[in-house]
Amino acid sequence: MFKKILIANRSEIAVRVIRACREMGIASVAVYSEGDRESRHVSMADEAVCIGPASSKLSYLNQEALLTAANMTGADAIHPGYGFLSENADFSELCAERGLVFIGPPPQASRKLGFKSAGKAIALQAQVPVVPGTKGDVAGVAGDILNTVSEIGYPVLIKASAGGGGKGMRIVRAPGELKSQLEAAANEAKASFGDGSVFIEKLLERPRHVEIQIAADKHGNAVAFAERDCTVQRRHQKLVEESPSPAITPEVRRRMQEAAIRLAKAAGYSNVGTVEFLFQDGKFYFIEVNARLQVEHPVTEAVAGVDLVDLMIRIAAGEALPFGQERASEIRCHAIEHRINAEDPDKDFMPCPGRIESLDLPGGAGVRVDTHVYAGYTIPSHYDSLIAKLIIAAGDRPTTLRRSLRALLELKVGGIKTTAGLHALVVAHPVFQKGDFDTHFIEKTGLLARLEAVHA
Amino acid sequence: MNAPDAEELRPIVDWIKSTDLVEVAFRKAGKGFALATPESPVRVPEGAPPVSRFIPVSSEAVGIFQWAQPGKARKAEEGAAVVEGDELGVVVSGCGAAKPVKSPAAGRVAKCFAEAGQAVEYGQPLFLLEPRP
Repeated sequence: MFKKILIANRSEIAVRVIRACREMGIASVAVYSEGDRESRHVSMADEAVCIGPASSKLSYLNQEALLTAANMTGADAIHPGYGFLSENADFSELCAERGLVFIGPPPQASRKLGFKSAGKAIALQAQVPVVPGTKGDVAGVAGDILNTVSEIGYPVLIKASAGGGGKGMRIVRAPGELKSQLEAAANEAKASFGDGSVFIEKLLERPRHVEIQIAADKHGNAVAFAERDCTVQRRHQKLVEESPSPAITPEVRRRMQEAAIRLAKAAGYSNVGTVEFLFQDGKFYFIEVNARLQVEHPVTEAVAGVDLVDLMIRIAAGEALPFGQERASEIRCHAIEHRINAEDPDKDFMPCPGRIESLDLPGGAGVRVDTHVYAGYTIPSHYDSLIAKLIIAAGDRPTTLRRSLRALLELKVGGIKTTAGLHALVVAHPVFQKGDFDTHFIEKTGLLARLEAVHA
Repeated sequence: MNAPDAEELRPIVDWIKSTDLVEVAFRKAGKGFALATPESPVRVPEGAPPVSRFIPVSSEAVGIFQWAQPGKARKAEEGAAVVEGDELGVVVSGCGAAKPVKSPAAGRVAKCFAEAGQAVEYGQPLFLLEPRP
């Protein structure tokens, strides 16, 4: 086992890893930028090294500074947390060259899964369902395009192969529109990108975002936990995550878990990771793999009764998984996570850095708070605005939601604006309580307008 | 109350020295006096930055401090005169890259904090420079 771990990250996730290290009897080294001197992870770790100025590029992304700090302090492993260098295969290779264990997947596996297109290829190979569509350019489709699209099923989305930003994109709802829309999309693609090739994909109009946490050791064992449902998003940013999903049946869950394990094995994956799916009308479709620890990992920790960071460290040290699939897929409770951001909901969620004048954190049964902030702490403006995660657990979903509301009302942050109020509105909303919603929940319910009314 | 003379304060000063107090203030009806020991922190008027005749010279990298690049002579002895841009030392990172520590001004090296071979972090003061007026 490792003697000392350097945590190449900041904020609540650095605090989270330091806690795991301490429980395992492993010394911890925090690194920090000049903008983070006051962060709790600095005072909590056994040692701390200032690695650069506030800019992430010169500090938390400065690979040489991190590796030198690790060598200087005698660390034998590096935990990358999430974001920053956590999915950087080059950095993980550099770690190995400098005699340090990177606590994460092997570089070849994260390369295989890191890019969406590459991940999709492995998924197909592992017989994991992907969003149906033409495999390449429509021009290359053999036979009648109408038949091909009928097999995919309407509505479909035409996308420019060279594209992005919505250019050359067309929604087709009926066979009659197909030919004219294909021409229009190809012309637009040609005009925008100088390349008129397009492909067709099934349009999921009411998808849920459901993901499977996996863990794989270096001995070929892999397990998959119960799903996390991250359907409630604002501009593709996850807001609320819960487990188990109110929309997933035991049968679908089992098939998703099996698919995730197949994918992990096909990619030669080890350590923890997350396989993300879209889910609609009883079917799931692979989107991508997050080859790292995720922000919402505590939801799974609550539901399965495991410590994923402890598990990451053990796997990286070469230990075998301490349990099998039956144990991993246990659902011991319901859990929900609220990401509390220092943002002003009245000003289009503009980040709201500043001094936290007072702080009352919720507590009591089933309430976990992961944070690096405290009263008197000044939130720096250089980084993302996550200040705390509330993880609420209870025996069933209704009790969890009531407890969530209770905890959100207990949370009081003085001096800055936060998104806590929005979370309370989400949890209290009848559509959320019923559990029947999709990724457009925030827009469809008009919650943001209601939030404005509350604040007015 | 008139200002006390030194002899009158002697017992109070002796008492302060026997404690870990660094400052004692006595005030009555708007008048009084304050005593501070030499260990007391320098008082800075609100809003004004502390004035120092020294400039700290800090490390701009994480690494091992050395007095000079291999094969070069040490320049930064305490008391040595330097010109702007002189290399006072280097910070060597794990990959072997040496980041020079340059004198920001002409003057005299008043203090060297680091020793050769010492691990230093970003922003760690390595020297105090007394610039030439």
